[in-house]
Amino acid sequence: MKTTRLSAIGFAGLLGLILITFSLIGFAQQSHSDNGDSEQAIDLDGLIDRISNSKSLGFFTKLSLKGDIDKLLDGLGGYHDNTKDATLSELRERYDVLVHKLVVLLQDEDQELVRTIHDGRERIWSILTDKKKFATL
Amino acid sequence: MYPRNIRSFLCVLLGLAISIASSPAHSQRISTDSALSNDLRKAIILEGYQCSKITELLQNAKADYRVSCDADRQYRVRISEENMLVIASLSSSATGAPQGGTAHDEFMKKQLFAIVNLAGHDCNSVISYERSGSLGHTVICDNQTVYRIRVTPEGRVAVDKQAIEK
Repeated sequence: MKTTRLSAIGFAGLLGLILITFSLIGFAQQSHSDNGDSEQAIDLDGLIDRISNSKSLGFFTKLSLKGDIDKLLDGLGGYHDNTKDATLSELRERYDVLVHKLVVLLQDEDQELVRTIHDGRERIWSILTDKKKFATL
Repeated sequence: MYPRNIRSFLCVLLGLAISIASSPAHSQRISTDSALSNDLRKAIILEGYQCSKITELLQNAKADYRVSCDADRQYRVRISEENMLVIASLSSSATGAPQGGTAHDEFMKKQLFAIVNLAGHDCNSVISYERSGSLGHTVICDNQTVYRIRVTPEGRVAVDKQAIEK
């Protein structure tokens, strides 16, 4: 019983991490493809697989990241709905340091993945700040 | 049915069995060199607490650990019913990121504290910070040490120690 629950928790943690980084990259990939520029398309499945198997991110690390990511998404949701006080500049600052944190955790293990995140940073942000696209996340 | 002394003995035996069954499981010691240990240390730092090195790691129950770090810092790390990571400090020396200021300030200080410490630098708590360039930050820690966080052209995050403020 406990083992089953822990597995579910592990999956939830992993899913949470994927939500912020790579589902967003997925949207970035989609919007990029819409522009007909496939040269820099991101291999989403490959990224998810790499992050899932990364030895740099353990179960508790992922769970902690998920908590901060949820707060950022909550803030962005409030910004779009005009229900929270955070300014776009503040939200951008939070987004930047969260990406920094993820990179610090990954950079000694997977420089290529770090590079991919770095390259997609602005496109991901543009999706997060687009009310319509954000609503589909 | 049974003589009185045998009934008493059976009652004692039953009580003992119930006591053993309801008592919490014994803590299990886990190697401090394990991947789990490293994962817990990072999670503690990510949550705004200090832990340069884990000196002892005990598992109380499934997903429930007692972590002893350097400088006599002790934490309980567990997962709540809502699947949230919960870290509680068990010693007075195990203080977390400073509270106060706006919600944005609290969020930022916690993140910057984690970045500086995960990069291998020593910072008990972030007392102030400011933007530096488009993606970087300058951070001042409670010991007046200044760190500059910047992103390299390759996308890596570098944390550079600056001169001590007088």
